[in-house]
Parts: sequence; C-alpha cells; structure tokens
Amino acid sequence: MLHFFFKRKRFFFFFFIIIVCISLITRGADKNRERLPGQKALQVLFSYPLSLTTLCVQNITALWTGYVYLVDVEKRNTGLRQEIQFLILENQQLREHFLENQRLKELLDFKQQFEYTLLPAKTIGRDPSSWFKTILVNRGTSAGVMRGSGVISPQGVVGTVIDTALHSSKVLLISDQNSTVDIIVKRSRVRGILEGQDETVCRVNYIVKKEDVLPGDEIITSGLNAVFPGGILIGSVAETSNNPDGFFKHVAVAPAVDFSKLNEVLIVMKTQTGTGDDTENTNRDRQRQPAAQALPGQGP
Amino acid sequence: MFKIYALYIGFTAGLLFIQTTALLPFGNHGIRPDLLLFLVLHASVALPAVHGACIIFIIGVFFETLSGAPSGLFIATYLLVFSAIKLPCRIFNFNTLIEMFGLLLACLLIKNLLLLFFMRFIYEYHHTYIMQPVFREAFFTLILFPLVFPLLRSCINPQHTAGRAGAETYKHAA
Repeated sequence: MLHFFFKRKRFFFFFFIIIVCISLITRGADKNRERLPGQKALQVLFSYPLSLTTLCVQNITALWTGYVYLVDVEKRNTGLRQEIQFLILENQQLREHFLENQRLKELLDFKQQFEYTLLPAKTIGRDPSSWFKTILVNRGTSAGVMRGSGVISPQGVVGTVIDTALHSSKVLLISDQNSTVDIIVKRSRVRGILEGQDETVCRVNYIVKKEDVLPGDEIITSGLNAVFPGGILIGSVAETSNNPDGFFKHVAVAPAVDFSKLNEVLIVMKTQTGTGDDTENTNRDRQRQPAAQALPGQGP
Repeated sequence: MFKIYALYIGFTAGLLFIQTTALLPFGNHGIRPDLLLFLVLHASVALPAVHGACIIFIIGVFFETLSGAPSGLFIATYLLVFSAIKLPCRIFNFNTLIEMFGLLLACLLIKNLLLLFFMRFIYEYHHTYIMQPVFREAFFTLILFPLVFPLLRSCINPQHTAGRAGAETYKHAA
C-alpha cells in the first residue's frame, strides 16, 4: 500500500495541491469568513514600514511646498481672502436653512439617521493586484475602526472598511465591483444602488426607465444604510441610456473622488443610534473638529 | 534550507512593499506589475516540489494580507500556476533569460485565465470591466522582468545557498 503511494507520490502531491486550492477558494467565497490565521499580524507588521515611508515622503513634500514652492503666495492669499468673504456669507445663509430644516423636522417628527464622528486617516498603501480596488489606511482597531465603516473625503465618498488590523484598515473603494452604496439623484430624488465598474466609472442600478435622470446630475448618499451620512457627494451622472429589453435605465456615474490622488480620508465612526432632537447639532460640531484638524487646507 | 526560506520571505516582503506603497507615482496611474509572479516563477524552476509549494503558499499569504482579494484566491492561483509550471520544468531545462521569459508568458496566461475563471464564476465579477487593468498589469510585468528576475537569480540560488548537501538535493530535484 505504502509502495503504491510512494510510486505515485508526484501525482498525489499535485492532487493534494488541487484539493488545497479548491478548499481555499470555497472558503474565500464566504465573505463573512475571517482571514487565515497570522494574516492580521502580518498586516500589522507591514503597516509600520508603509506608514513610515508615507510620513517621510509627506515631510519631504511639505518641505518643498512650505519653503521652496512659495511663488505667487501673495496673489493666492488675496484670492483666498476674497473667497473667505463669500464663504462667510454663504455659511450664514446655510445656517439659517439648517435651523429652518431642523424646525421642520421637529414638526414632522423625523428620526435622525445615526450619530457619527469623523476620524482622519492617511492612505499608506493600495491593493497590490489590479483585480481589486482597495486602499490601506493608517487607522485600525486601536483607533476604534470597525468593519463596515464608511470612508469619505472632502471631495466625496471613498468606500467602506472591509478589514481591520491593529493600526491599519483595508478600504474597498466604490469603484470596485464588490462595492454597493444606496444613492439618491440630488435633483430628482430618484433612488438607486451604485455599484463599482472600473477605475473611472461606476453604474447605478435599479433606476426605472421613466425616472428623471440626466447627464450632469449629482449623485449623493441616501443615508439609509447607516454607513454613510446622507447627502455626501458621490459623483455626477456621465451618461444615461435606456436598455430596450430591460426595465431599468443604464446610468454611468463619474466618481467625484480621484482615487489615484487620495492621500487623506475620513472614516465615519458610528457612535450610536440617535433619535433625539439635538443629534444633528452634535453631529455637525463633531464633524467639524476632526475634519478641520485632519486635512491640511480644509481647516479654517 | 532556512536561509532559502528567509531569502524568499525577505524578497516577498520587499517586492510586496514596492507593489503596495502608495508613494510611487507609477502605481497611482494604474501601472501595477505583479512582481511576486517572478518569485513564483523562480521557486517553480529552482526548488523541489514540496519546498516550492510551501514557499508559494507563503507568498500567497503575504499577498492576501495587503490585498482586498477574497481569502485564499491568490494562494490557490499561485499554487495552481506553480503546479502548471512545474510539469514542463521536469521535462525541459529553462536556463536562459529568454527561456524564462517564455515561461513567464505562460505563467501570466495561466494566472490570468485562472483568476478570470474564479472571478467570473465564483465571485461574479463582470470580466469586461477588469480586462484593461489586467492587460496593463501583464504588460508592465513583462517589461520589468529583465530588471528584476536576474537580481532574484543572483540573490536566491538554492544550489549555492543550501551548501553541498542541499546542492545535491536540488540537482536531483531539478
């Protein structure tokens, strides 16, 4: 019996490899399954050199932009001062609208979606393969990041946290085909599900042909899935067409975020479900603090 | 043997770091060569089947640590590429860089076909949308091959690294 196995050991070895591969693939098909043992520890090990390199290069870049690249500062300063004046005016108007909105919500007894804070994070790596669109950020379970948290940037929605380690997390970008986001067309309030397609285009599914969606319309988060706050920009409609054989419209969306230049992001940290009247105020205040501190150029 | 494993692991970590870091400008523009495939190719040619399979498994685990791929996908793909490459390696000798380049082409073809199959039928991806980055990946992998592979060959040489006893083993294995 033993002789039989030894004689055909190469065959059995490759047979064993194929069995291992099939079991690995079957295991991977279950999305809720945890990773192989040791992979979290490896991710922690990798996060240190990746963070260190990011820090070094950002410091060098800061040196360049801070001291060497100071041409036209005076001109830009004047322009920015003017812009601030406009923004102050706009802010006052928006505050009025916000208070009005809050009063109306109280009248209608609307319930707040969820309470959240924003945690700033830096991109330290990207997916090593071309098949998947993920990035690595330098915040993990030690900062309270959880699987399923939304990730945004000042430009718009970035993606969702799919995996966490001690000091780093993997973020699935909205451009990946595995990603889905509940959306609303800002102008016509039509709802749909955004799915990733490729690096520059996403598509919106389940929008019925008769619905009013036009190229150039802004797409925002609906806030219904408790991952992203409502009203965050996702992108704009690039193209629409009607499929003659189907019920739904084909809607292509250009994401607002340029994923190739993504350096800083904000992780939406869900705190607790709130139904109180003043939750929106606390959200607004909490949102401002870390966002302003985290993103250079975004603060006051 | 420990030294060979350490060298492979070191190279895997180094190449993966280059492939993953967001700081290299070429990576941000979609240029992502699969540098670990060079290691898979090297291990397929230079190592005996059992040690080679162990090394490939480790490479796959490292890769998936930083990738958003489903657990086990790249380990399985690299192991299957290794198995497919190991068979012709038993019959033919692949010594020159051109012969290795031909083998790399076969590796790329097998890897991408396997991934395409898994992605389409198990993970339900639309293959039409992922073809462009995949072709780009293959193209840049081929371009970087003459730069990276000779370096790997000179640094990880099992016949030198494993000592006399090891050299005999590898001679027979090859």
